[in-house]
Amino acid sequence: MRAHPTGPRARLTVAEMLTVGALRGAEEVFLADGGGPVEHLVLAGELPRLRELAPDTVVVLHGEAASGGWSLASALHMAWERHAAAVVTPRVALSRSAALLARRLGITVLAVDRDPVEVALALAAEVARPEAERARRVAACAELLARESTVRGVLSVLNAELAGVPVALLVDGGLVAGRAAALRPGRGRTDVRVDVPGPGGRRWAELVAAVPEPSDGYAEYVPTLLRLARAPLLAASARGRIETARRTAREQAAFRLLRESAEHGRSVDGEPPSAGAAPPDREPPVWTSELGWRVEGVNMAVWIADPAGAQGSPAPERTTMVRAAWAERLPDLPLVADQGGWLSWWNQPRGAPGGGPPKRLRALVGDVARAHGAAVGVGSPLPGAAGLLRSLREARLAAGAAAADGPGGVREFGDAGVAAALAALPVDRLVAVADLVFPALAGVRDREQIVRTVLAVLDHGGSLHQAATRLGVHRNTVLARLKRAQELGLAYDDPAGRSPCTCCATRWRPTGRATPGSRRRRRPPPGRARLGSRPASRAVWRRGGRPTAGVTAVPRARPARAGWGVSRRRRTGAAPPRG
Amino acid sequence: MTARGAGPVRAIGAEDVPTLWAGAQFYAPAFGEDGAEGLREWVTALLAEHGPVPLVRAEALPPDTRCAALGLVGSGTALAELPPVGDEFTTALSGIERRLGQRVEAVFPLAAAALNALTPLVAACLRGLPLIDSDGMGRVFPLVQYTSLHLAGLPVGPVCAAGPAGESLTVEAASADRVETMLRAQVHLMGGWAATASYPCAAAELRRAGLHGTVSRLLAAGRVLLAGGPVDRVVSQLSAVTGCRSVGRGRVVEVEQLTRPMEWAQPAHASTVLVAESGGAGRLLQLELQNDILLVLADGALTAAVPDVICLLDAVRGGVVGLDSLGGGEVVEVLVMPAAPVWYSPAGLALAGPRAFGLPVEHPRVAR
Repeated sequence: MRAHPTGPRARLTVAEMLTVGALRGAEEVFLADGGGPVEHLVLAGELPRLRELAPDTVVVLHGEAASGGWSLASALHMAWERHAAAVVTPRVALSRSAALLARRLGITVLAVDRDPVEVALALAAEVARPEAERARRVAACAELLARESTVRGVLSVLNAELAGVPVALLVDGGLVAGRAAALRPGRGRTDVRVDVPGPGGRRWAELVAAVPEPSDGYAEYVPTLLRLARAPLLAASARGRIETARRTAREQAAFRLLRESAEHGRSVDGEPPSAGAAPPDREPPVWTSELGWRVEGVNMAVWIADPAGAQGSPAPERTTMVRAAWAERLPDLPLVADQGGWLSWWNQPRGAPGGGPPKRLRALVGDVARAHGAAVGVGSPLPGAAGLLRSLREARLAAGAAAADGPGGVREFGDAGVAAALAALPVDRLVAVADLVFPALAGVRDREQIVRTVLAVLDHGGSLHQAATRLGVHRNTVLARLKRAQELGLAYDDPAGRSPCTCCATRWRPTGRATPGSRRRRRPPPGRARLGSRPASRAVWRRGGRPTAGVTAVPRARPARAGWGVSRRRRTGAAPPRG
Repeated sequence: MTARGAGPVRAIGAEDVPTLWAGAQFYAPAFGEDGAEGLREWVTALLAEHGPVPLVRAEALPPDTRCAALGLVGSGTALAELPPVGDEFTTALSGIERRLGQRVEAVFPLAAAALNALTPLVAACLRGLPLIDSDGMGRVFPLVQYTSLHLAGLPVGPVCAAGPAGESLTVEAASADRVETMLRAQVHLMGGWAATASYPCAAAELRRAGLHGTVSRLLAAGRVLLAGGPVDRVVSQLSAVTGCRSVGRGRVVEVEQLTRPMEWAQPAHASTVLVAESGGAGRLLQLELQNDILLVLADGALTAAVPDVICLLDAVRGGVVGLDSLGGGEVVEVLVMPAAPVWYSPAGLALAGPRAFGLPVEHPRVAR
């Protein structure tokens, strides 16, 4: 690459002309060195005209000189002899032999579809006043940018203007708009990055352009354009936020009205429907169809719980992100921000085959929820607006149960069962009460382990064997933990205290989400542990014996000793654990 | 004495036909084998039957000896598809004799190359006439007025043409171009080819305006080509015999059709052949074709141009490579032979130089 002065007064280069000038879109038959300055422009209709070429000239061929075959070959040779910067030829004159000769001579050859005389006139203006040309291009691009009202539109203008230079917009390192090619690592290119401020003046996003080398043609132009795009991007972002807020508020108000309408209808009818009765079916308001909502027919509510746990409306930013993901995967279903999350519903005409939501719907909703760390509940299919409200209540309960499955968990109300009721309990208050009821348990480090063991035993009707299988530990380990639970006040075998014990323990049970300090170690089932997976001394010590040097314990299933269960039954009077 | 002996050639016999044909191909590489095989067999049979045809120099003839050029106008493919009956050349000769009111006493080829190197032998055999060791082109040009005779002011006509269907006509016009136009149109109607007798002149006029020694030159080149051997040696011997030079040797990498605009009057399509030089500087040799090889450019620089005779030699097997059979991957030696000096005069270049073929470029000799 030849060095040459840069800046607004510097001569244009062939690469620059190809990127943003009259040669933009020209076919690069062969590009030898686009970094050299262009000093002159010559329009050659006959070959003798080429004998007068000065170095660093762009030659535009037309007429006889561009009649193809030998004439183009001769023109290339003469241009090469005189150190021309590039030869521009009409595409019709181009042939494979000309391309081979250009490569052989190492001279830049460009093919254009437009009238070569027009191209030459435009190029002449560019070459004569490069600074004016650059300013004109920047102004033209600024006008195009100002016309755009969306982030995607702004990025489209940048990518169209900077042909061959992919541009992308990143927010928190994630691609929001533009071309992903800008982010792919590659040799022979340079990244140009420009910060984009948000409404508060702080950095909101980043524009990235991958500029191929040699970059002389882009040295000034690309950063200038990216800086110019900041204001339109900021405006587009603010407009998007306002639009989202406006839309969210409108939909919230609309759903509130729908809810009130349905509840009013219920009160007019008299008493509220019982749990098993079908809700009354009323004609939905007209404006529901104006919003694109379908309420008549059978509705199955979908509830995405806000992972932030807030009881109020989700944050606008989070709503924007969830809505974007939703629109991408489930564009036909509505999405309304409500207290504590987002609701949607799947509408079917009356008489459609029943059953739960389709597998694909579950998967797509799960994808959206997983991306935002949320859980999803799905209600029963019920008719009309009132049915939708009831289905929504079910979906909220099911989402609480799904939270135990971790991000992206999806549960249907019908499958969640009692767990759905427990999920409705106020967690914070229950945990505070549990701390008071079980003060000894609240402070121990292995609380999580004990709680999980107690719940497993309760879930399996007191069967130590099944609980041990589920937990992946030895039955004796389960017994040891139960004993420790009793010592800490967790009276799981007291009939009177079993229900509150279950509630408190359920609230203490860790969710599927991995959090620092709550990491669970997956243990092999009894009898399948690797040899040497645990030192014998530790295993023996846990059982109260003395460590035996050099002996490795091999865990294996052993029959329960009947005496343990008998003695405990005699002592506590509780139902004996079934071994 | 026929061509196989040493010294000047005095006569052409049946055994000389292969040699003559090899040389005729060398000076007209664009023309393939179409129609040649039958014509060769016919000429060989005639020579065997009637004996060798005397080959005489123009200056050896009495100055007032009436001479005429014999040739075949039209397509070799048409000749192959519609073979001659046998009387076409004598009919053409008789036609011009009737028109002139004089007997023709010696004949010479319109062009001493390709099929036209053989056609005068037919009439010479059948009429017992000598063949003059001269012609009007020294190579092959596509139009009848592209001759040194025309350059010297000799009239093309009257031209008598005889076709394979027994039809004949005589064309006489004020200008040579008009004769060519009328003749070409009629040949098309007569079956695609016609035997012609043209350029009636005295031996003194031929001596002044013709290109001499061109028939015996074919025999000399033919002997080298038929002898074969290493290609370098063949090229060296051809250079000694014909004055040719090698532009380069390489592999054909591209054959393109319709690569430039054409004059409608010129037969055949414009094509380009690209040869990547194997040794030396590794240049790209670009051959521009239209009925013949018209230009050679080395890396885009004009190296040779019509009226130079540009010939391709098979660099592996030896022998002339016809343009009809040229394909990608072949290794060829590009040879350039200078034409007769008259073709490099301003009038000669104006008549048969690059511009006459629609190529607005100066011949390298002029450019230098």
